[in-house]
Amino acid sequence: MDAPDNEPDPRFTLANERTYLTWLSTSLALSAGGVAMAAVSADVFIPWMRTLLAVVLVSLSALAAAMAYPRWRSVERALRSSAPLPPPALAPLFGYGVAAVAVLALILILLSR
Amino acid sequence: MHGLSMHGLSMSGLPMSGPRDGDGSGDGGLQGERTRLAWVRTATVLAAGGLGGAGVALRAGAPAGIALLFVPAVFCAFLLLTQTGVRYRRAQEALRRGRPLDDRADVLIAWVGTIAVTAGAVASVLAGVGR
Repeated sequence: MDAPDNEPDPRFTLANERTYLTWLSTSLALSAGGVAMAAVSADVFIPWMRTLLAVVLVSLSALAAAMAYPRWRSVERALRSSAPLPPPALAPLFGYGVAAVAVLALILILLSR
Repeated sequence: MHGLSMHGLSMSGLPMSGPRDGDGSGDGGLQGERTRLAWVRTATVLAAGGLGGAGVALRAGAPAGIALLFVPAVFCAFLLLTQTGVRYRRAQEALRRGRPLDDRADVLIAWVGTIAVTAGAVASVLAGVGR
């Protein structure tokens, strides 16, 4: 890919593939969460809050999907040139983002009881 | 396993035992199996996401265009699932012979499918599915 210096060990290629597929699975799970949040009954969540949480989840999903392929490519390139792997710069954003949505959803559920 | 056992010794200090790797992969050929399962898992979730998303959108009375956004995901998932055996054999062959592996086409197909589900999900949320 892109004038490689050397071909990587297939074990590293497979590990990169699995990491890429995990990013895609994360994106798909966030999409499912977003649509499910949007479909929650209006009795449980204030409508605008429900929409806000759903938008946050699908935005994270879009971000994960959008960066997955470029990241796979950059890791492949790093493997072929024996360069250091690019850091997972956005990984904390997903952790904190999903945690924030979960905590808010829990508070809203408790308040609605 | 590598993190727990350095230099061929287990945590108890005894020599490690394990399956001989006939393919030279270092873990008895499980690399290929793990990757195969990851592909099957992703393709299955992709198909479920495409079908489920289209179903939710249609049932919620969203415009048909939103349901159509999910359709490419189902096709991509079908393509990936039909390639499972071929991809696995290619990976095993590459591991056995230490040859490079190029699954770029499948990587792109999976990406297109995921983007389709994401686009459908964003459109569904913005269109107010469940309102």
